[in-house]
Amino acid sequence: MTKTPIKINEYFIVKGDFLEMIYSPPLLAEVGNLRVELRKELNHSRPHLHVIKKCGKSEYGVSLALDNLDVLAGSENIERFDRREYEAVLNFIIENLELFEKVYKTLRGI
Amino acid sequence: MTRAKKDILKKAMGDFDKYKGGTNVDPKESSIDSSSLQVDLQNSFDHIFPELIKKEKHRKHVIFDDDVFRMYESICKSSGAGFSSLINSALRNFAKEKFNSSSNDPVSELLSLRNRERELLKEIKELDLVEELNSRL
Repeated sequence: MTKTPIKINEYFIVKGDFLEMIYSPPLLAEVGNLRVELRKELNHSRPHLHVIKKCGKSEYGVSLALDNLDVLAGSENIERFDRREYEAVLNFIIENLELFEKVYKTLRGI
Repeated sequence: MTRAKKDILKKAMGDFDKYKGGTNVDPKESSIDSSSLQVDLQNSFDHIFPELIKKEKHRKHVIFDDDVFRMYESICKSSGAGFSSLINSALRNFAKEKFNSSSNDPVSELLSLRNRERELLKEIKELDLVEELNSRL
């Protein structure tokens, strides 16, 4: 008989106010109107981060590969980011890449 | 910052230029002090990180037999229930049933005693006690 692997929880929703905030969606950091999220789903076939900038009622997101920060999606939204702002976010990500990978492995149960 | 990390940053900032970064910035939405932004992001992450890596906070992956999975998947589709809630519910019922059938449950214990009593009466009836008594007399 064949076995079907099923991943029960793709969106790591955990009960509890504080944990809800962290896991749904999986937030890494938030400052003002900027958020950095780690996505567990493999819709780009690679582990990736979302850098999201909220402007009024709109949100502009860029998906970056976790290994080398390739732009996987949202390249049209980069124009919304100030240069120094974007560089600061990238510096933050690069300094913590190993830890993000550790979190990613934990989230995927690897 | 290591050489490799510097290279990644250089390439990523190259992408920023390539995709015309910074050309459509709303000044009202860029009031964050970018000089302290990295530090603020780090502080935010440091606060969240200990919770994120707690393995017990994350649900585990499990592997089902194919037929079991298909049955549950079909129930989910027809009832509109979520897969994990259905599985959790089935597991809860299983645990409850197990608990109720344990010897700690008085009703269950009484039922099993009655069953045993019936079995013993049946065995007694099958024995030819009259013949046994006659032989002893």
